[in-house]
Amino acid sequence: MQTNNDFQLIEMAVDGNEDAFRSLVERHCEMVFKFAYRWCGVKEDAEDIAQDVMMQLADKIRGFKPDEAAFTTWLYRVTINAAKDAYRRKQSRKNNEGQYANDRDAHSSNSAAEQQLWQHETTRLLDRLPDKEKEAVFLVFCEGLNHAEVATIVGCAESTISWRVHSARKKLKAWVKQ
Amino acid sequence: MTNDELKNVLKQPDAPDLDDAARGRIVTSAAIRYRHAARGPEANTTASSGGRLTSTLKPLMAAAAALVLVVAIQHSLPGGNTNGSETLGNDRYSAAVFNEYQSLFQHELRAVVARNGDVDVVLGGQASQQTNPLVIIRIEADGQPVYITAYSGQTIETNIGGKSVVLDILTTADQEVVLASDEFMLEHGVLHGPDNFAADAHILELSL
Repeated sequence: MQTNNDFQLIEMAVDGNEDAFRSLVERHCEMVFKFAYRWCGVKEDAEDIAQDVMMQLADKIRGFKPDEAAFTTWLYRVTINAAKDAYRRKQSRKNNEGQYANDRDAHSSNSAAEQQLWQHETTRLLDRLPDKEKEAVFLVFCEGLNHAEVATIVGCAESTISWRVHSARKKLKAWVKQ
Repeated sequence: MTNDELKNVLKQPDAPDLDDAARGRIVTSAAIRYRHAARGPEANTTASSGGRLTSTLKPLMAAAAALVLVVAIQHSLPGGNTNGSETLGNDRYSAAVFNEYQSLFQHELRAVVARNGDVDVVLGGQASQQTNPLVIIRIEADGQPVYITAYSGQTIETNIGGKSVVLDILTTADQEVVLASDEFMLEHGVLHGPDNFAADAHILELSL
């Protein structure tokens, strides 16, 4: 399976080839996990999000048109939505943001504390942004996508993404100065 | 603030790598879901909210409850060892017991479950996957062993540690047995589940 590209794997998975599906999951679960981790800052939550995304992939793969670009876009969209949902659920359960931050602190003390603290501070800054701006900034600056790609993933105009990034930049600038 | 400055503010250290155990669980649970999705909407696996890497088959369970007949037979196998639960762990004996019941129940036999000297025969409306490998499973809950002999590729329901457990039995291309249930998951020979659970499983090498 290693020699197959995503397009071939999708094509085979659509046709019911489980080995191809497993290869596809193995190939992309790391990316999804890292994305989720950067979003939520908690390793265990990121694992849950990655699992959730791959479960959705299992449900939807047979309806896919074998198209790598569409697949990647879909994967990003589902990951963002899963990350947002997980974050909201967690916040709702904890009933306040401080508790969620405490979780991160707890994880920070486990290992590589310094790195976790960096992660914590960055995520906390992003968390202060409205959801749509956080999403745009995250995809552009943390994932390295261009505005057009983000617009496709999020499902809006490229100019909207540019505006959200601009707006977020102003806010972040002010917060960093504080 | 320029883009570069913003990038610098948002620059993050690398996220940790997904560890092998988590990767294995994600891949396996997704593969199970994929397989069930192929069967249609009546069978499904899902991650429970806030839970981790679980497998639920609630609609299937309801159907199975109607279809599956579990016959508890006081263990007295013709020519067999009467110390069933201890000896069923032995491949040769497990094969003999399974073969015995298979000759009686033909294509209805789904699994033979032994515990405390009793043998339960799990029969179902679903034909056994007789072209798949036969696997031997030992599951302990609070030190009480349960031995299951069944063809892989099946979902069976049995009592383990006083609870009804729905168990997916799978084998990989590497001849590894994977078990998935709400309570635990066994893969790469490692059990992920409650502390009072222990399990191991392997493919039966003997031919019936």
